[in-house]
Parts: sequence; C-alpha cells; structure tokens
Amino acid sequence: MPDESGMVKRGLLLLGMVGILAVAVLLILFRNRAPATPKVETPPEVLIGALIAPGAGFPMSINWVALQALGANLPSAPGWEIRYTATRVLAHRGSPKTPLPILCEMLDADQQQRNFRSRLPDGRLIADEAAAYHEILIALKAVGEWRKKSTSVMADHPEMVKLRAAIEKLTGSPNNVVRARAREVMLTMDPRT
Amino acid sequence: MEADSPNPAATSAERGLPPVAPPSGRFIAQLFLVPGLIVTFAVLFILGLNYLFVEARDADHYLQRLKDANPDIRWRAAHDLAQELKRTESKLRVNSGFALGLAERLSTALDELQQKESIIAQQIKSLPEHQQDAGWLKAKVERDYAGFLASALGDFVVPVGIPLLARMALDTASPDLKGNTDLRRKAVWALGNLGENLKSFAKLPAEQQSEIRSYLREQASGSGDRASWARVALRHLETPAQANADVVDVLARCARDQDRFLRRLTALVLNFWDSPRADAILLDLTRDDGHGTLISSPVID
Repeated sequence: MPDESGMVKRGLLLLGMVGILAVAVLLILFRNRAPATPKVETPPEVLIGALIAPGAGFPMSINWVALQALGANLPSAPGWEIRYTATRVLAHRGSPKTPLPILCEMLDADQQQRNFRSRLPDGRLIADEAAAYHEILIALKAVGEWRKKSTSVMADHPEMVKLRAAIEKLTGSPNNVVRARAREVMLTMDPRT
Repeated sequence: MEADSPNPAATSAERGLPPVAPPSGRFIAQLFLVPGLIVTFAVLFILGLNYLFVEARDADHYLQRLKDANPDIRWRAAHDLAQELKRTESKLRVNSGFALGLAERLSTALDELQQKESIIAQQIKSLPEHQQDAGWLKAKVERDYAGFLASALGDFVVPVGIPLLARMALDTASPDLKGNTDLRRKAVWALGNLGENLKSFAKLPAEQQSEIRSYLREQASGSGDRASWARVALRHLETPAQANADVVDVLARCARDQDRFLRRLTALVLNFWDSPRADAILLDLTRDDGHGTLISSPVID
C-alpha cells in the first residue's frame, strides 16, 4: 500500500537530522583537547655556539648573521627585573627622570616574551605569554600614571616619539586587554593634549 | 451480585477530595512562625557567640596568646591577628600601645633568634654545607615568629615598628645567610606596607589623631626601647618629611645590597616613602646590572 501521507519520507528525514546531531555531539565530545602548542623559543646557548666559525681569521671567524639573530633572541641584560621595577616606580611618582628607553623596552612584546620564558619537562623553552602580557600591562599603567603627573617632557621629544610608537604598536596586539589598554594610553600620548 | 460488588469509581466519588477551606491563622503560624522563631533563635545564638568571641580578642588577648608556651596557641593567635590587622576598619591597627607591645615581642624574638643562631653555628661549623642547611632549620620556629611580628608591625597605622624593621633590613651579621635573607626581605616589605598605612593616619578623626599623639608623647617621655620607638613614631606623625628621609636612608643601603631580590623589593618599597633622595636611588636602580646573588632556599621559597 503506497504511503500517501509521506510518513516514511518524513521519518527518514528526521532520522537523518538526529544522525547529524549525534555526529556533531560526538565530534564535540571526542575532539582533540590537547593544549595549544606554545611558541618554542631557541635557547640562547644554541645561537651563541653558532657564533664562532672555527678555522678562519677575523672577521671571518665570527658568524655575523648568527650575531644579528642572537640580538633578536636574547632576553634583556641581567638585572632587568630591578631596572623595570625602578622605572615603573619612577613613572608612578611622575618623575621627569623616568628612563623612557626602559619603558619602551617594557612595552616591547617580543622582548617580554624573551624575558619571560619557561622550560617544559621535555626540555623545550617556551615563552610565558601570560607573564609577558602582564608585564606589558604594568608598563602601560605606569606610562598612563606618568603622563598624568609629568607634563614636562614635550610630545615631540625623540624618546617620547619612540614611546608613542611602542604604544601604538600595542594597539594592534593579539591580546584584547593589552590592545584596549594601549588604546586608552594612546589618548594620553596625543601630542594635541 | 453486581450490586454487592464494590464499584471503585463510585467509591472514589463518594470519598472525594477533602473540602477546600481557607487556611486558619493557627495553620499559618504552624507553617511559618514556628520555623521562623527557630531560625531567629539560631541566628541570635550564633551572633551572640560571635560577639563574645570577638570581644575577647582585644590587644591584651593577643599579647598574652603570642607569648604562650604552647606553639599551637601562639600560632592560632598569630593567624587571627594577621587577619585582623589586614582589615582597614580594625581598631587594633591604630592601637599604639598594642603596636609597642608587639615591638617589644619582636625585639625579644630577634634577640632569642640571634642567640639560637650562635648556638647552631657552633654546632654545625664542622659539618658539610648541605648538612648545615638542615641544621639551620632548628631555628625555623624562632625565625618564623620574628618574621610574623615584623609583618604585623607593617600593618599598623602607627609607625612604631620602623626602628626594628630598619634593624632587620640592615642586619648582615647573621651566620644563617638564607634564613636572614628571608627575614631581611620581609622587613623591607613590611616597611613598604607601613609607608602605605601611614598615609591613612591623616584620614583618622582629629580626636583619634590627638589621642594617638598624646599616648606616644607619654610613652616617649620615658626611657628604654619603648620610649625610643614611640619617639620615632611621633616624629613620623609630626614631621614626616624629615622622618621619611631616615627610612629612605635605610632603603638606600638596601638598594646597594648584594641580594638582587632585595634590591628589587627596595625599588618597589620606595614608591611608598616620599623623599627627595628617593628619585636618585631609583634612578641608580634603573641602571642596575644584576650583580650579586639571588638567594633561594626551601626556607625562602
């Protein structure tokens, strides 16, 4: 007897939809829950080892390409935690002597990722992004406080221009909080204000 | 036969549901009033206990408990006091007599720690280094007690703890390098807290400020350590600019210390002490090259 009401078709359609739903639920349940792969950093000792080209006289004995790469891979010089803390406190006090180059360094996201590194149990060296962004937020807050209290440094001062550029770069940060805070601080850096 | 057999439907209809009637006053009382009374009495009972319990925790209570021979009682009091002093509305934070009492305890604790360290130093001097570390753990109770009292003095609005905290921060003579480094860091941190808390003195009502000053003047007129600490506190309240300079001098010496973490802490703590010299010290610290040591040990970590 022919099924005039289309009950079978509707039943199959419903079954198909339930099947799709079940597959989606299973995919969600059994998806790969492995943590995001952190950015693996090159240990400085590897780069330092590549600096020397044995069997050649100076200047060929130095691998100048490796030397350039080394500069972009090393953390800040020892004592950076002390220098950063002192700079931040000077900025909070509104001191006109606040060293702006250190503030710029504190706002350099790449540099902070090199400063804040952790070694995984398997020996890999990774950037501690949370700590790096935290340091940047501290620096942004310090700049904001400093600008509120200190107006003696002119906006067109070369170091102020660099500071402004460093903050402007952070307005495009992949981190939402850093990006928003950088935009706020940029308003205080406006040369018109 | 059929008429004799019970008809379930008919029986149910006859019995029916109980008649619907508005709830009586007694019924409402049974439902709400009685449980309400039980809960009220329970809450009042707990509040009463809490009131009696909190009332008992005055300054004398803490001072008595902190010198109890039983370490459990001592540490329970320390635990309660640490929480009490962190509350900005706590009356104990502005109790000058209590602060002086704690300063006396700290002074005694430091002397006892020094004696114990001397004894241990004699006992372990011939042992290898890793066994010496274990030997210093014998002074852990005394060291922790001194560390607690130093931190507690940093939580007061009345700065009677400054001379003792300065003494701790600058003490480099201890034979227990790691334990002493830990204490020095705690002292510098407490100085930072004290600098911040001192600002709230100006926010106290004028009568309370006057009472604190009168009490400190009375104490300062005497002799001995207690009078000396009271004089320093009074100086901070009456001529803060000059008095701050003394604290900044202490911090300046800490800023030249070999311990890298102490230098970093010092930079942070300078944020809470206003003095013209502070900027110069901070500027020096912005040129720090990371020299010295970064001491880490089970005691510190």
